[in-house]
Amino acid sequence: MQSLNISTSAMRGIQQALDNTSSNLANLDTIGYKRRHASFSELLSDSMNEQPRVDNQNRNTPFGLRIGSGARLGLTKLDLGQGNVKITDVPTDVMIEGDGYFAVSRQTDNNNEDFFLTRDGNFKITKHVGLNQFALATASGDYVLDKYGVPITLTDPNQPIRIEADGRVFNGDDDNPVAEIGIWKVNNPDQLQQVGKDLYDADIDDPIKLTDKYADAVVEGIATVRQGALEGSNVIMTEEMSQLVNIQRAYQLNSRAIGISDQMMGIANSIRSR
Amino acid sequence: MIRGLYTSASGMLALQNKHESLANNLANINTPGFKQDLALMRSFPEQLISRVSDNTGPDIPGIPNMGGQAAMIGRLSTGIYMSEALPVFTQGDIEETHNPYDVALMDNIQPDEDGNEQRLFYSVARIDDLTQPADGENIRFTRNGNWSVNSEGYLVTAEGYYVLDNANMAIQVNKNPDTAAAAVNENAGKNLKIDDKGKLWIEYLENTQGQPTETKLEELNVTLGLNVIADPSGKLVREGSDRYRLDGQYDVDNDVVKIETALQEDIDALTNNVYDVPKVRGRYGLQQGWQERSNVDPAQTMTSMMSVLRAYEANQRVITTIDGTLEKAANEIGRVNG
Repeated sequence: MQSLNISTSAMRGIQQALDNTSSNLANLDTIGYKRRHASFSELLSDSMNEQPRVDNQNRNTPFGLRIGSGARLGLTKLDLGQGNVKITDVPTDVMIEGDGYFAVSRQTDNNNEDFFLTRDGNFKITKHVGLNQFALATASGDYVLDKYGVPITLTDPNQPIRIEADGRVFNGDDDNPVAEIGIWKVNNPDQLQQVGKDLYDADIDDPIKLTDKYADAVVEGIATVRQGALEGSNVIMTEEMSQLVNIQRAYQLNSRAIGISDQMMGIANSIRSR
Repeated sequence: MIRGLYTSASGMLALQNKHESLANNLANINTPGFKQDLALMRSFPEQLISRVSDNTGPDIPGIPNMGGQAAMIGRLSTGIYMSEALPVFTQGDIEETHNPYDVALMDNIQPDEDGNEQRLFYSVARIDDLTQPADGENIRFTRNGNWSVNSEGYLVTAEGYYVLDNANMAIQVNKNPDTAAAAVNENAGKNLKIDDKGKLWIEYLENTQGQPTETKLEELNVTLGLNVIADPSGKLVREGSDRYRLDGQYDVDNDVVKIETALQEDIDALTNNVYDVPKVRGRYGLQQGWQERSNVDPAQTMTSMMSVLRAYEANQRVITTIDGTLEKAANEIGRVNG
């Protein structure tokens, strides 16, 4: 009975949509999290052509009978809308207002570096292993890169840090900035690959290529930097909850359909059971 | 009598098909742009029944009483089958998604001269050479405006079909997606604006030294292909994956009209000031950041499903009853010493 498969495929898709919604809800308070929106898609249609030959008169539709075979989760699209502002007043918390991403580098075992993009500006000061200097790093220890692709190092970590709207970082009383935070514009953000921990794969192997591949969002005028604030997630609680209701009802309806298919099979089975 | 057995069995089979079609409607209750199928039943061709030996029979209106031949009793239908799954192209309600690549399509086009329903569709296609327009036979139609952008910067559907503009070309919204040298107006993302008539625009910030930042809107000279199809249920074949294709006897050149052409008369009337009221307005519209939901009515589908179940059960009862009668005929008739 095909109807069992139809409803099962839909239930599988709905379950995945539920997974997506729970992931959004779980990250309601994650800094820099971008929600995903699940969208369904039909499965291919069965075409039944074993219809009587005379049945090509007085029809409303082209010849043959086509019944779809269910639904699946088509795509989960990243919603890159801005999250809400959280004022923290922590000097190493940086938020991007507008479009753009921080670039971070991670030291791997054999002295190689991996590069990622992130919106999470929850930074801390840590000792850079290679450079033996204090550097700005993310919560998971990846070094934040400046607009030339080099880690941002500080002259004196005990002195206050000031970060201007254009990304210049000042350390202590020095009037010359120690670095400028790189904010990178991604031309095709839909192709960004999420690698977890709020990071997206930067898809480069050398920091020099960063400037070839991504433009400077501050120069383009599409982003500014705000110190002492963080970007919350862009998950909207009410929307996720109404989505949850939607999903649950769809799940129930499909499970009812399975129940009815089951009853029909039972009926067919009991044709000869007297 | 045994004929009745097959009649009921055909009823069960047809109802099973109908149940499948209803289950598919329910399965796609959250599929954007899905149009529900209506299961149409049709009875098998009828037979004329005549008496076997007695040639004096009653007069039946409409059937000639031919003397000397076996008398006609009447017509007998021998069962039912599901002949069509008729897609119902009514408008689904629309829902906000905040995604720049989601476009809901709303239409309210008048029927054509023959009284056929006319509906609007997006066109999508697989294209090998992106510098050329899509071939007519490769074009598929969809109401699902849930798109994304592929690695080359083209607007594509969830299955990777290119979304076509009104010249049947693929639409590149992000030019140079992989280099920093791309000009400000060459990449879309959140800056892509699609207006209510399907025109594409790019909004960008112009940042000249010493000047306040300006928001600029640049026209991309691309309009989404919006296709009017008259009598869509008669011409379109459901292919699945949200797509429809034209049935073999129809072709894109003759049976599909672009919306600009379809409404030309109204637009002319408008520009010539024949009418004061803009007739074109309200005929169709697009809404970016929204999606059209499926037009399946869960309550109605569930009710039909329950009635299908009961009808199925009734057919089964008929079979069991016939079986019981047959049992009597086989085992009890002519038995000596009961």
